Amino acid sequence: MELGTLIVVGLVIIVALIFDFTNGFHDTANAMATSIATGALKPRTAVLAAGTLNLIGAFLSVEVAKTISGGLINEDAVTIAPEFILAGLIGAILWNLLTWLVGLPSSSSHALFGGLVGAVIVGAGAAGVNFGAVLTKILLPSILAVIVAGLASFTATKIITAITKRMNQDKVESGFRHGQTVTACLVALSHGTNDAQKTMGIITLTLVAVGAQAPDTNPQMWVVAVCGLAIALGTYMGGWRVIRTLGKGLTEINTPQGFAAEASSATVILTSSHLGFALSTTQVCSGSIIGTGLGTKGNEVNWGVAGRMVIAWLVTFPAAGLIGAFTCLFTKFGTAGTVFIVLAALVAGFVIFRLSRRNPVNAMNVNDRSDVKLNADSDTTAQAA
Amino acid sequence: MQELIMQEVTGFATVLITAVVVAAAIATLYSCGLRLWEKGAEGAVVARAISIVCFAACVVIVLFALWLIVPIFH
Repeated sequence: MELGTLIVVGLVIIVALIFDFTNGFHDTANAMATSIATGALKPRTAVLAAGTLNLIGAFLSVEVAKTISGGLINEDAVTIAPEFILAGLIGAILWNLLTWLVGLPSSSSHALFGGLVGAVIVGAGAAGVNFGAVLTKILLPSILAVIVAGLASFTATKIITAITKRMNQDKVESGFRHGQTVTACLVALSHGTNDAQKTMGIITLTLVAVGAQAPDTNPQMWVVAVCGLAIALGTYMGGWRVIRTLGKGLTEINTPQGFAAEASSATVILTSSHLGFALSTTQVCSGSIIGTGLGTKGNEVNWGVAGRMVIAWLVTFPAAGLIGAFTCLFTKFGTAGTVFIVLAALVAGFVIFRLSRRNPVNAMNVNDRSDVKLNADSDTTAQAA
Repeated sequence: MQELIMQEVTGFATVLITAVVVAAAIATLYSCGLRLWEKGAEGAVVARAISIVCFAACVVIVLFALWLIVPIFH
C-alpha cells in the first residue's frame, strides 16, 4: 500500500472512532434523559448502564452494512473514496459537537449522511446523489418520527393517567420507576446494536476498498472491539447538555410520563426498523417526550425548545453536508491537504469544547435548570432578575 | 413513482398503527398490573392473580423486544 493511502486509511479509522464516540456521547440522552430527569436512575448509574448496554449491543450485531450511504448515493456510479468518507465523518462530528454545545438533540446518522453527500457533490458531482432518497429517507421521516412517537406516547400517557388516577400517587411514582428503567435499557441496547455497527461498517468497507480485507466478510474482531469501546465510552461520558434539554427542557416529566415516553420510543424504534420505514432514534425519543407532555393535564410543552429542535433536525443534513463539502475541497490537495483539514477539524472541536466549559453541564447539575446557556454570566443575571 | 409513494405511505401507516396499538397495550398492561397489585395488598386474591398475569405479559413483551433487537436470533 502506498504511504499516502495508508495515511488516509489510518485517518479514516481514527476519525471514524471519534465520530463513534460523539455518536454515543450525543445519544445517551435518547435512552436516559427521562430516567435521569425523574430520578428513576442516578445520573452516573444511568450513563454507566447505557454505556455497558451499548458495548454489549456492539458485539451482538456484526453484520456489515451493505452500503455506506444507505441508498442516498448511487454507489454503482460513484465510488465512495476514503477521502469522501473522511470528509463526511468530519462534517458529522463537527455538527454533533455544535448541537451538543447548544444542547439540542440531533440525529448522528443524518449528520453522517449529510456530510457524505456534501463530500460526494464536491468530489464526484451532484449526479452521484439520489436527491429523491434524501427527501424520503431523511427529511420526511424527521417530521413523521415526531408524529408517530408523539401519538404513541400521548395515547400511552392518557391510558396510564386514566387507570392510575385513583391510586396513591407515591405508589404510582415508584411503580413506574421500575418500568421506566427497563424500557430505557431496551432503548440503550438497541442503540448499541444499530449505531456501533455503522462505524464498523465504515471501517470495514474502507479496508475492503483498499484491498486490506476480502469483500463480503464480517468486521475483524479488533474493529468490533474498538467501535464498541468508542461508543460505550462516549455514552458513559454523557452529553449532559442534550440530556438536560430532553429531560427538563421540553416538559415536566414524572415516572409515569417517563415510562410512557420510553415504552413508546422503544416500540416505535423496533416497529419502524422491522417494518421497513426507518426512523431516527433521536427524533423518535424527542417526539415521545413531546407526546407525553401533551397527554398530561396541566402540563405545558415548551414549544420554543421543541421548535428549535425540529429546525435543528431539518438543518442537520445540509449543515453537515456543507462542512463535508468544504472538507472534501481540501482533500483534493492530496495527503497534505487531508492531514491539514483533519488538524483544522481537531482545532474546531477543541474550540467548541472550550466554549462549553464557560457554562458546563454535568452529572451534578444536569437537573438543576431546564435550559442550556452558552455563558454562565448571563445565567446568574437571569437568576438574579 | 406512484407505486413508490404508495409503498412509503403504507409503510408509514403500518408503523403508525402498530406503534400506537402496542404502546397503548403496554401502558394498559403495566398500569393495570400496578393498580391490581395494590388492590391485592388489601387481600383481593383474584386482583393479585390478574396483576401477576399483567406483569407476566409485560415480561413477554420485553423478551420479544430483546429478540427483535438481537440480530442473531432471526
